[in-house]
Amino acid sequence: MRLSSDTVQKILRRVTALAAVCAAAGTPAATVAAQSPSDPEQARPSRRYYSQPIAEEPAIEAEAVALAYRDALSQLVAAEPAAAVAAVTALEHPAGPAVAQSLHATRQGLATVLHGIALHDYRALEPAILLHVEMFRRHRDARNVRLEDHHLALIRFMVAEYAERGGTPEARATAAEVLAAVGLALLEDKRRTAANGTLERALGFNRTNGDALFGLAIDREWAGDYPNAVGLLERLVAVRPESAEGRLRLAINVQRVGRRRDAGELLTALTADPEAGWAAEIAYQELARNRIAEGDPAGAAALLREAIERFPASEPLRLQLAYVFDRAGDPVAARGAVAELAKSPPDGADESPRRRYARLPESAAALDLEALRQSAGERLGALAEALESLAAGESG
Amino acid sequence: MNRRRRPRAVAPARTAAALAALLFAAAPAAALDVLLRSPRPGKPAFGALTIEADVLGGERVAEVEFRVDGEVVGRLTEPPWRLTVDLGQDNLEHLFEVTARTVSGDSVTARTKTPSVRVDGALDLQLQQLYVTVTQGSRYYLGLERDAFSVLDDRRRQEIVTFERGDAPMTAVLLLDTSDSMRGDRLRTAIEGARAFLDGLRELDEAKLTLFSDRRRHASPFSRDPGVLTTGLAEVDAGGGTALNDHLYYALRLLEGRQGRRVVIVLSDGVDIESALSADDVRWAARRSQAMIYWIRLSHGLQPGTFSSPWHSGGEHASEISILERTIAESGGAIFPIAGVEGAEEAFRSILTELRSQYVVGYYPSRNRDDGSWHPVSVKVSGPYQVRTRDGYIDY
Repeated sequence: MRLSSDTVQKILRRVTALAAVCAAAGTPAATVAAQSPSDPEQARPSRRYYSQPIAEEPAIEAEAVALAYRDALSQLVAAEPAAAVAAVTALEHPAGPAVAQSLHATRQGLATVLHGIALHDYRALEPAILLHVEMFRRHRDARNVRLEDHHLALIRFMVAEYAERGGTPEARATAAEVLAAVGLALLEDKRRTAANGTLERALGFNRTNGDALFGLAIDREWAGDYPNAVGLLERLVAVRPESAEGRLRLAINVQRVGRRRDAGELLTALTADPEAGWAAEIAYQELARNRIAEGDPAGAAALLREAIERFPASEPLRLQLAYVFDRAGDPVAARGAVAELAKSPPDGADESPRRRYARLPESAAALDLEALRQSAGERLGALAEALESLAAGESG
Repeated sequence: MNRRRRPRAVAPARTAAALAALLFAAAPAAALDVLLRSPRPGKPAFGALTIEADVLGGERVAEVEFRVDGEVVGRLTEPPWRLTVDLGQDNLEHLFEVTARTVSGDSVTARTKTPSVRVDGALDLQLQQLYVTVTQGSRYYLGLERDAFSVLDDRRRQEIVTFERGDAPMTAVLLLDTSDSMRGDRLRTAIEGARAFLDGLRELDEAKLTLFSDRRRHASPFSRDPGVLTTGLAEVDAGGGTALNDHLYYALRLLEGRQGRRVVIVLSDGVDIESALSADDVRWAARRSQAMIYWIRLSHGLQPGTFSSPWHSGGEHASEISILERTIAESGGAIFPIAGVEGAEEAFRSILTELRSQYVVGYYPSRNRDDGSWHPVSVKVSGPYQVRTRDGYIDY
């Protein structure tokens, strides 16, 4: 096979040039333009394996990689996803001692193909995006960060192509959804730098993406950057007013920045929301703490009694009530509250509400992308056409 | 133990020498005889007290039975004929009886009676008991007499009215942190460590074993029987977060009103994340408790202040740990650092050794304010020893 086509050469030159830029930032080509100025990964040189100067790369059989990758994608078209995964996996292990540089060059080969697909029909990228999200998930499960990052880079590249070529709000929203899902997964793994970069890029495509706002707010909160967490959570609550978790996190962080009255109103509203679930239980706890701090143990006790009626199995609420009785100088009532708790077996719950708060939502780990999965099935024809077009271009 | 019943009518108290003479006169030489060495007649008895008898005579002794106020408190089949009981802090007279029985069925009983302290009118005397650990270098030292101790309460020297050493009965709550980091073998190793402590319980001791993470995962009843205390542990798995403050408060509350020395032993890295109560709340409760808190501090390799969590910033975590350390020091307990959970068993054994090597010093504070204020307390001993006891108590 020859790469005789001027078009393909032009694409290669573009990808190579972009890759050189990205090598310094640890991100793939074509995503640079989509980065927001505050992207921490843009400002910080990557420590990762693919940050080697591009001039030092060994010669790679780029066209062989591209061909093999097109074969892998054609397995998707043939409804053989397992074969597609196997073929992409084979491309992750190029021969030779300089594996890092080889993987980088491999990625360039893959990017060339993906760019060609995007030029043909950006929607044809959807099955490929899902394929690499699946690869990302597998390497994440296997704790292989190096290959996880390899696919992260490809995902970022693809969604940037998708949004740019699509040019519609829907395409940008889809790009944001993919990056938000991947960013939340990275955040759950405490890979904060990669998560931040990915989530901020998601907001670059769609500034109202709820998952990205959620993830970034939680990251800021974990880092103790409460003012920025508040800003993000206010945006989140504006787009997801029904989210009790979002309102609770906003209340907690508003409290942390000293806006106690605002926090009190938000927490009280949560206790009045019958759908707020575990968020309401924490709201009761926080309100009771505030009452104690204000020297109002009777008010705290009333709140906690109300909370226990609503959450009778809650151990923290009962302990807190005992403590409130203690503070109010009623050790007999405190002893009674604890004795009642001691009589009951452990509640058997999987986690306490505060534990639930301390982690990301379930969706973070799922990499579900259900909407994309549904539409990607309809794009297999477009992908087949794109692959044929690429093959024809080469042979022409 | 608090006994409010009036004792039965008894013979007048006798000095040890008179008692011995009387008994010798009443029985032929080499016949069975019992001599009560402790308690001394005529001296008020409070708190932990060792009943000690000499059994004389040629025939083998099958059993020595100890009774306080008519109730059997223990039986021994081998010398030394010594048993420690907790009389509680109520100002009561007590009847002590020791009965020796031989293999052939003969029996002899020695009795002595201790008076209550005379209380003038409205003066409400409250015995303060201090559990004092004395070390010489790295070894516990139990060779001191009452005269070697001086107690300062509110900087005023106090008269010591009760003095015991060694083996006062105790009630202990063992709290094992079974959060995520303790999964698998680590949890089993921790439980084996705790078992070393439970196996060392004596007749008048009691313990309760509680496994916690962000919620209660397992709770035994109070018992002296290691079998009862460890029943059902095989089904318990580690997992979840850490609500140390909540469970420390729970343990302190459970110990209120229990017999003897009250002890909490925590095995944890000490990093609380999900508690509804703060370390300050626990300190407040600990200052009002008579319990000693011991912390088997499992290293997690991080310095306080260098990590944050969803509920606390780095600074807040550092502060919480610092307050916990102070709470333990104030309680008269200690911290036993271990590098890994494999060190738990030795730490539990060390704590048991310390608890078996304490002095119990009782006094009536010369100035009661009865206003909920903090009474600083210190104990000094003559000689090259290090002394540790609780830092004070709340006067109310």
